Amino acid sequence: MANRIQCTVLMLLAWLAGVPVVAQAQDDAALIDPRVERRQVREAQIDSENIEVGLYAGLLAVDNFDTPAVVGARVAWHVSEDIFFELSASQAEVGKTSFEMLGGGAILLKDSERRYQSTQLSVGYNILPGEAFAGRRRAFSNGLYLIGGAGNTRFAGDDRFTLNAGVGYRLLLSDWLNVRMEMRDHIFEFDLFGSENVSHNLEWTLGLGVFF
Amino acid sequence: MTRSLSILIALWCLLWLASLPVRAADLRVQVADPYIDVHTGPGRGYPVFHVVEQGGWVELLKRRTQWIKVRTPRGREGWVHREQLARTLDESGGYVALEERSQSDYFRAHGEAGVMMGDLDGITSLTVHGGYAFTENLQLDLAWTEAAGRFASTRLVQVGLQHHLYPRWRLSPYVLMGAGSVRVEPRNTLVNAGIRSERGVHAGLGLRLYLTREFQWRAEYRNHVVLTTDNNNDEFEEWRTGFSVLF
Repeated sequence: MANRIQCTVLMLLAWLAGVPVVAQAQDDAALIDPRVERRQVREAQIDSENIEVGLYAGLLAVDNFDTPAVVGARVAWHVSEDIFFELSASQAEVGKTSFEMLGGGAILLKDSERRYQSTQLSVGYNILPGEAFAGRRRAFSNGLYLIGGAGNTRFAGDDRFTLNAGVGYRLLLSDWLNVRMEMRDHIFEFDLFGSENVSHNLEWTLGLGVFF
Repeated sequence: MTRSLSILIALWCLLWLASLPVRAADLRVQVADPYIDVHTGPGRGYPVFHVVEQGGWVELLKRRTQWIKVRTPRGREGWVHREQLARTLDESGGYVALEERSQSDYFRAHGEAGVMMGDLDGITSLTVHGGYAFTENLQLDLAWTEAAGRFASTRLVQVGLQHHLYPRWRLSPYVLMGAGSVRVEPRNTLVNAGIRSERGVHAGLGLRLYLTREFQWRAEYRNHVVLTTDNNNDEFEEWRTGFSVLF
């Protein structure tokens, strides 16, 4: 009888003691779970930022007219560290020619024809990349670029095939934000004054760009 | 003017909001070369300011063109060229897979976008086009062409179908046909004639050359017939060439 009680007590004790032991064994099993996530890295997983979107504003010296303010937007796609493609659209409200100012009421263009709208497709080439230093502790990446292309200009009531060429300076404030200053010539044939002559329209702009 | 400007600004803000970083799970790789160079900017001209030694773990942050922004074990951030990434190991111990595109990637359905320049009946023309190739052979194409000439400016908006005869050749010929609208606006300074808008159909031949990565070159000849309301249909020819991007 005493043996049986002893046996039961021991079994109970063993059972009570056994529970946490088993539980601990389960915990250990969880700790050394062989299914550790080993991540494979592929290039496509890295977030790529090759598209740049920007706004710009500046001055446009319209040949034979005045120099109005110009505003525009641009989207650029950076193909390599050297080359980018850019689509830009800009607009300006052009004033009067000197003939209209002095000619005593002579008006050459309607108001709607004074709107200068330009759409350009261009290729840019980055040159002279480097760093610019602001004080002792700060350095910004920067560089020059050459840009040129072709497009359409709507001015004086007609569409005009336009070539553009210029140079710009880009300062990268951060990885995704940059400021730029650009000088570009827009060249087209202009026949408003009778004969066909080549019109050079210099545009000077400041812009902000964001990388995506 | 102010309205279009405000629309532009709103659009820009939207795009900027969309670009706010959505933090992906960190990608880490271990340097397998003796060391890798870390540049201050994404270009070979930017100075090397730091190196990471063999065995060091770097975090991959983002990619711009052929450069990858990394965070080094010491917490510095800089740019390494993707070729150096090819000599790093990931957590599974394998080399990081670089994905250089090749022509065979585009034997399946894909999109295309490009620009072309050409000659439309003696006038310089500019074309922006986009297309979708739903099989190796067939591609649906949408093209917008502007040609500003001495007497009139012409705008073509066309939808067409291209059939590639030998799609797996690097230099591949194709035939094309389609339809669209033809808008001719006479120059203001000449006559005050009205704008003409007609329907047109076209057929033509083209050549496409796969260049590298996702780029290709195209050259096309198109014969356009304008379906006028007069007894005679107008006919004109167009040559164009340009580059496009595949995606």
